[in-house]
Amino acid sequence: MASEIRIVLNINGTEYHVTTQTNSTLAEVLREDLGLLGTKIGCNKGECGACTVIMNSRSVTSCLVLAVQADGATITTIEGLAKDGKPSPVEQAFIDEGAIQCGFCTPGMLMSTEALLASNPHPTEAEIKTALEGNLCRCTGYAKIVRAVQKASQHHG
Amino acid sequence: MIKDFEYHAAHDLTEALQLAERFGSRKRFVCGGTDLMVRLKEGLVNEDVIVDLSHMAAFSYVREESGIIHVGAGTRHADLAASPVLLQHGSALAAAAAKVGGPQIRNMGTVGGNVANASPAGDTIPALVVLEATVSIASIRGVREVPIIDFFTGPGRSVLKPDELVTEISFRGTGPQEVTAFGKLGSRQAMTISTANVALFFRFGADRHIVEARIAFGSVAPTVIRAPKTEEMFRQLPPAPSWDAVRGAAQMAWKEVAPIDDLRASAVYRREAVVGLLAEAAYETLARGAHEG
Repeated sequence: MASEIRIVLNINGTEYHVTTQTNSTLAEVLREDLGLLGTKIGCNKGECGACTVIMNSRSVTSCLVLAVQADGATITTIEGLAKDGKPSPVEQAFIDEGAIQCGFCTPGMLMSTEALLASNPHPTEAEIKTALEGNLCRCTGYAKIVRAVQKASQHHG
Repeated sequence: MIKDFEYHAAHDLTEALQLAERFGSRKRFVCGGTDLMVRLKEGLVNEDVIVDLSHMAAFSYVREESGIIHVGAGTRHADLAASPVLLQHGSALAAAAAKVGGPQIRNMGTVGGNVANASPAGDTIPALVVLEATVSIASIRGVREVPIIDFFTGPGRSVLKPDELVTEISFRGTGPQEVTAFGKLGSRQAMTISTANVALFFRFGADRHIVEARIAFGSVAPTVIRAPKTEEMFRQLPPAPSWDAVRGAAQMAWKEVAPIDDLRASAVYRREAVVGLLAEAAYETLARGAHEG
């Protein structure tokens, strides 16, 4: 048996005390222990970006983080973007531009976009493409996604 | 599903070295986890103890002291890529780090992990080879320093002993008459393991011709290699050489590398790739260098 461990995660402004296993990933804890199902698990090996969350101000693929490594971390997931039931500016831009097809990659795309705009509020098209290069869209809706990020950046700061 | 293992977190170097001594070859270190987590999920990890270095805050730094650049082993690729010190005094390392994986991978993976994993395709390694970097290795027995070119003994193999940890990588920072560059070819632009990669270092003499050339290739031999015959070809180039002259010098690399056929590319493809990668990186660097000073 893997050892049980207790960890503390600050997720979307709420402190969670979680008892989990040493061999659980952060993605598994978010989805299975905390019911935060917005974070998707796609490839489960860090290549598709669907499980992207922001941990201590940096985007990470949560399938490659051991939950125990995240002990004490501050984490933002897709569930933390909307405020008072109102979509965040980035979410609204994705809706307005139709930058969503099947929707599976969308949470990861949104989290990578949030991380980009936090450090670079007005990115060039090349910077947007670099910032999203770790996120795959199986529907290949990249053109609309890039347009949505451009639109979100116009309303940013 | 990841197999069961015993987990220990090290919060400082002393703790890390004590855990390394205690568990020896039973343990694997993890820091960014971008390589180890994939291997754990694929059932490729034999060790049953994981020692976590990701909480060692003092393990991440880039600083310059008396012309020597010191890089903490726990420094993440994103921090290397954005480091003003590296952009000025070791730009090939910053450029190589910027080409590792994608943003999320660069936010997690570390230079120490890239070196210690000893992959022939590791992107930071050719850059560190042309910078003639030194790897600092610590254990409770003490500290030793190994030139990076002597660190690797085969694919995934190095001189690291079971109780040892890579703590720092250091090199002499490049000066005004020196330039470095990095180039990479993969199956796509991002999130890709290098099919071939190259790093170069040129020092210019007074008349702008190359007085010292260092060239290293990755993914084309069991370890990253230097290419002394190709380096000699570049030393013989005139100042401000034409594209054809640069391409001609780079052609020597076709013979000097020793690639294999694997699932990423054939050996012949890799020979062609290193010639093209080197020629492009060198020509661009020389064009840029000619405008300096």
